[in-house]
Amino acid sequence: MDLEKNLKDELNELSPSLSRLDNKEGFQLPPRYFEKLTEHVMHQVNADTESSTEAQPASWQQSLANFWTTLWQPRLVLGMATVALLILAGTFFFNNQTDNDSMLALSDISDEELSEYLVDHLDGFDQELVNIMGSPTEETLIPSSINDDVLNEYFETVIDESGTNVLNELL
Amino acid sequence: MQSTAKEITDLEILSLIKETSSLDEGFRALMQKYQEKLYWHIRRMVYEHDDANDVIQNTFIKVFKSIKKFEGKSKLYTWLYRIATNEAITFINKKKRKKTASIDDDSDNGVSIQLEADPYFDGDKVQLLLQNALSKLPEKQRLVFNMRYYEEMPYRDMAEVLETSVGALKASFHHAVKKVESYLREADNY
Repeated sequence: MDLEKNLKDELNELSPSLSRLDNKEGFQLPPRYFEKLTEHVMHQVNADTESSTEAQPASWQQSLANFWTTLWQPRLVLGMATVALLILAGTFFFNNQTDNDSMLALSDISDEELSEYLVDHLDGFDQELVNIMGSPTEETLIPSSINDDVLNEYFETVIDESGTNVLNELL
Repeated sequence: MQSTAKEITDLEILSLIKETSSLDEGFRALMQKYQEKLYWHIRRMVYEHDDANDVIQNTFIKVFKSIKKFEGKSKLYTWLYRIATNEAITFINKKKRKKTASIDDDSDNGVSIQLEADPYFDGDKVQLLLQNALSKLPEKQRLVFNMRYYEEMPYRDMAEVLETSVGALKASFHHAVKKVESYLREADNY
């Protein structure tokens, strides 16, 4: 069976009155329209192609250069400087606060408590650090509240515990 | 010797387009071969020349951008028709939305006023009446009527363009013809 009937035959069957009409529409065109259309579209697609080629980065060197240029834009530099300044100010402020807090905590401790702590933990201090800080005076190491008897007793105990070898080395 | 647009086959056009060095030549040949058919196809859908001009340009730009993806599963001309049809439908829908939003809605008058104001329309009374009758049809039926009645496109190709069955298209054309006939009879002008 022929699926593709001739249009005239098909219309004759469907609507004889319509098939008698001329199938022209009356639409017109500007002169030389299609020539101009080809040129216009070709110009447009070529312009699009050129702009998309220009948009692609040529190499990594160019990308780096672009990045560097972008990085040094005044607005960006100003922003980064502001952030750096804020970080510095913040660090300075918080450090100062911590120092003040430690100073306040130390001021609450009495001299006696401090002296006791130092005597009890003398072995725990770094010897080099002690040397750097300067030679201790008798006044700073031995509190005035300790009398001679107590001191003598302490030294005898130390001598007994250290033994003669350590004393020879020290001398 | 370089072949002219009329002699060139679709296969030759596609092989020219495939090579970057001959892309321009191939695309120019494609345009010269199909622009008239596609223009009239679009013009029948949008009526006015200025609108058809916009749509055909968009169609060819879209074709240029996607021609390398054309796999040859369908005929080149049915593929082009499909793009043109989609572009025209998109345009019509946009225009309808604008018209709905506007207070000045003259949809009851059909396309008579629009065509009479178009400097590129010089159809007679019957042609104007026929265009008016077509403007009353649903979009799909009008499309089918135009492709069959004016372009005399085979149903098989129409099925490929509109991605539907031959049977459905025949039924659609049948309904369209009956509606147009009834409109013309009522107008008592033919």
